[in-house]
Amino acid sequence: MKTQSDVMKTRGFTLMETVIAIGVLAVLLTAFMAVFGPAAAGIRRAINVQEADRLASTLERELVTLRTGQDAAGVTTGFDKAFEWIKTSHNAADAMFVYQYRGNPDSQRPDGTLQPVPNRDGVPGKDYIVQPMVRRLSDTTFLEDMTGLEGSVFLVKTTQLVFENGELVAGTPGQIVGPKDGTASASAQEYPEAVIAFSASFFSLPANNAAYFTGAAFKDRFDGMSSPVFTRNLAVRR
Amino acid sequence: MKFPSSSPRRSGFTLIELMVAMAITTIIVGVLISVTAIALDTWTRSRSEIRAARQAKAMADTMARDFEALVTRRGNNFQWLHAESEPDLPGPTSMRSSNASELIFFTAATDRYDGAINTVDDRGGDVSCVSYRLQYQDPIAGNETEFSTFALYRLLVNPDETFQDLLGKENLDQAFSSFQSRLGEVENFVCENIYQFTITFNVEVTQAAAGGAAGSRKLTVPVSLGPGTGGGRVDTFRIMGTGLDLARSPSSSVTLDELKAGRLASMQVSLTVLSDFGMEQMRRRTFPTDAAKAEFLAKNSFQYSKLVELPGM
Repeated sequence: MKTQSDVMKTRGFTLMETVIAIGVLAVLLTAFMAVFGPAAAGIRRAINVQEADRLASTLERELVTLRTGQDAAGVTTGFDKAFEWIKTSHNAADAMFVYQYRGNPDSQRPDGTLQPVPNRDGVPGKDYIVQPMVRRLSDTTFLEDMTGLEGSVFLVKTTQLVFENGELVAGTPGQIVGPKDGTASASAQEYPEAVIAFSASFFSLPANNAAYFTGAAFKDRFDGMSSPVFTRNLAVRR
Repeated sequence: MKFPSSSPRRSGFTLIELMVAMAITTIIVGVLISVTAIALDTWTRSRSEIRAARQAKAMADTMARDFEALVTRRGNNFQWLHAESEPDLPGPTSMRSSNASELIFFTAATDRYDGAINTVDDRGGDVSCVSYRLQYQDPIAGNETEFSTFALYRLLVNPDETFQDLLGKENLDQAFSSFQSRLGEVENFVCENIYQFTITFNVEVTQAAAGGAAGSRKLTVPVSLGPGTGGGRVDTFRIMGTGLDLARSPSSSVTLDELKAGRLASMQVSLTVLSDFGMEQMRRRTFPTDAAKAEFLAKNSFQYSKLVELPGM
């Protein structure tokens, strides 16, 4: 004859047991995702740093290259351009970007850069050549280039390096001074030295569509950026 | 003896119970499989991206170091740099590289004499000749095998040999021909899976203001090396002691003579690195159309570019 306990044994799992089992499973899954998420983000970050590092030399060169259409009152040489760009890089409207895009080698713009190739259905080296480039948001060609973007686009904020107790330290953003005496220079002509040393901070951007770069929303995002993926000290010469 | 009341309990699960249990199991297994699939996919993709980035870095950094220390002298008839788009691109017909150039130039390399500078092995001089070439071969065996890939090679000719045989020649390419066979040797291997690379020289041209007005303006003209002589590309680019030497101006706003008198400001290398999977597939597959090949390349390759500032002449 069956006792009460025998009946209990054949009844299957209780609600409590099932809940615990599901709970354990959920904890395991969450733990897995918690490890996997940061690992993937870490890899992305490492790749971004390497890319920003590779593009740093482009920034240094492009700052002193005065292209057709970039000259203005008081900006007549490459050094003038570098002075202006380093100084204004903290204004959202003059935001500076470093990126690579697919350029059509058979179609040059008047400023000596290549027209972007919008789709990837060509053969690299034959139908398009990947170009490193630096442009500002105020330049309409920037959004044109975004149609042929290859890889990430980095926002760059530059700050002049000045001497303080014999050491080079970051100066005030948006201002360029004589690095030794500290007197502010309004233009490149007033700047007393032949070299501007500056620190460039690269920020990686989550999006690259035209809507992301326009309006007050972009200004808020621009001002809110504070943790760069990569920082490098560079210099431009007269 | 059996009690009638106990028999239904021992008859096992009902169909409904079984179906509910199976449904739950299916959902859990489904979630697990999709999570694992995503994880594996990301892992494979990241791995090939990191590997490609490493190959690209090896190539771009090695080239950048050599070009940053480029040696040229004005006021003579000698040739200082020879860059020529490969007339026969590497690779078998089904997967031929889309662009590659042969580079020969002089540089103040620090790895001359295998890095044994200022030791007894240093045989003097500091100007070395380097040459770069993309070849389709097995980087370990040093010839073409079933494991062949697009491998980049760099040959450094030590300063003593450079001085004897290469420096001060009017035709650098010809003078280098006796060293050509050494280029593909195993120890000169730099990196692999480089499907193509394009070299662009940025020339700064000073142009007199239009209409005879006073002043002048500076233009930067990119000169890319590549197959096909139309459009924006040229097949050879040389630096002579007398100035730049090329066959035609790739820009409509600058004449050939203006370009030849220009200053070489920077050099840029754009390269395409195939993933290992992409390389393996390309060896096996044939593509019906160019569009199919382009689509395959877009999925299985990574693009990099690096700009190098060049020292003045």
